Amino acid sequence: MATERQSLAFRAVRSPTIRRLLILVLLIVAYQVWLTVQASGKVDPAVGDERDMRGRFSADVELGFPPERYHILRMQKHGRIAGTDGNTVHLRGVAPAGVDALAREYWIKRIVPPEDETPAGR
Amino acid sequence: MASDTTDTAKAAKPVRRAPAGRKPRKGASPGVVRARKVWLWLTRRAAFRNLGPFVPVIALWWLVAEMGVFDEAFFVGPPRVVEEFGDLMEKGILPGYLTDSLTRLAYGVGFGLAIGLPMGFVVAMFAKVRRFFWPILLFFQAVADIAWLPIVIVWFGFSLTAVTFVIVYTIVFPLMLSVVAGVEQVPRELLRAARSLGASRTRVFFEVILPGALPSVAGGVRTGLGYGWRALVAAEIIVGTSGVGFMMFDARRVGDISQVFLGMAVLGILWYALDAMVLAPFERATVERWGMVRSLEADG
Repeated sequence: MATERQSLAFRAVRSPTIRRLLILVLLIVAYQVWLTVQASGKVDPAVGDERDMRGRFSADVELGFPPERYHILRMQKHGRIAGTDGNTVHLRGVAPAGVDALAREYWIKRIVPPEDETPAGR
Repeated sequence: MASDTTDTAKAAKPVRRAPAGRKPRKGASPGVVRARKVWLWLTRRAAFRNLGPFVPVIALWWLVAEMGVFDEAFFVGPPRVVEEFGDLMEKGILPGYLTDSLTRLAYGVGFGLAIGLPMGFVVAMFAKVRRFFWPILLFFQAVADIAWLPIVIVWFGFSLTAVTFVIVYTIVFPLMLSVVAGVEQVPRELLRAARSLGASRTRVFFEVILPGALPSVAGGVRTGLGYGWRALVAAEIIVGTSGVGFMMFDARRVGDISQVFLGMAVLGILWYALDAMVLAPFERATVERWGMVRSLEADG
């Protein structure tokens, strides 16, 4: 029985289709790992220092290019858009989980506290 | 005796004969022979067989673009599309939209297979159910997926549910028809033999009907996925707020033709890769494992 199982597993690994699928899965895992690695150090330590009653805060999201509709829509999932300034998008009412999710987007360069220290959530 | 053995061995040894028409002609120059060898070597490579046919297509596309037959606002060449690809990758737009499209497809295919396969077997195996469902099946097979979009938008709004509904609808009916065709292909004498040997209905299903229907089911899965992929793009164009179909339609709105070309190329490449790397080998392996038994027996 054990030999049968081994031979089945052995045949599965030898199958070109299974091997291709495994390579595909490995590539997806590698991409996810890369997203996690590149997310570290992107968020300024001062982000989230001034929070509102719900624990939300403002943040400036810096891109390497002027934001397009796609980027605005993606960022809207994590906070309210308070305007754009060149390559920077001003976000309000961002949750800590939202900052983590934004940091995983590789097209975001940095997440910093807003320049004018207005109270969050305004 | 020894001579006999040698003769038998000689007779048993397969003789490799050059296929007709491949033998170099007498008096052909060494250059021609060498070119022919290179060509034969190339045609044996999977990469060449898979990608080779695209070379003249891309060359023609490039040539037409370079000749300026059409204005650049209507027709762009491969370099512009490659440039757009790099730009959209850098901005994260293409991976984001692709992820959205593939997620929708995965949901649609998952639900489509979960509904289509069992329903197909039920319709195929129970005569009364089949008599009742067959006209309905043919009716809905004829109603195009796009025709559902207006009512689906009313029911579910511009949501993932609406897109998933359309994909599921597109996959279920061809899959069910393939399953019915597959079950019909199972030789009756095999069923009778299994039953007469005391096999239960469950055992007959799992050991005779299911394996016998697998080649047709594999073909149905492949066809259904192809229809689902097309339905996804159509649904994204009309319903979606993201995805490759949406990207193409949105690019048309702002007059960026290169994104439309890029979207078409991405859709084609993705489907071709999925089909060539997974679906076609899966179907081939299934047919080789289960589908050739009867014909080999007949040949024998």
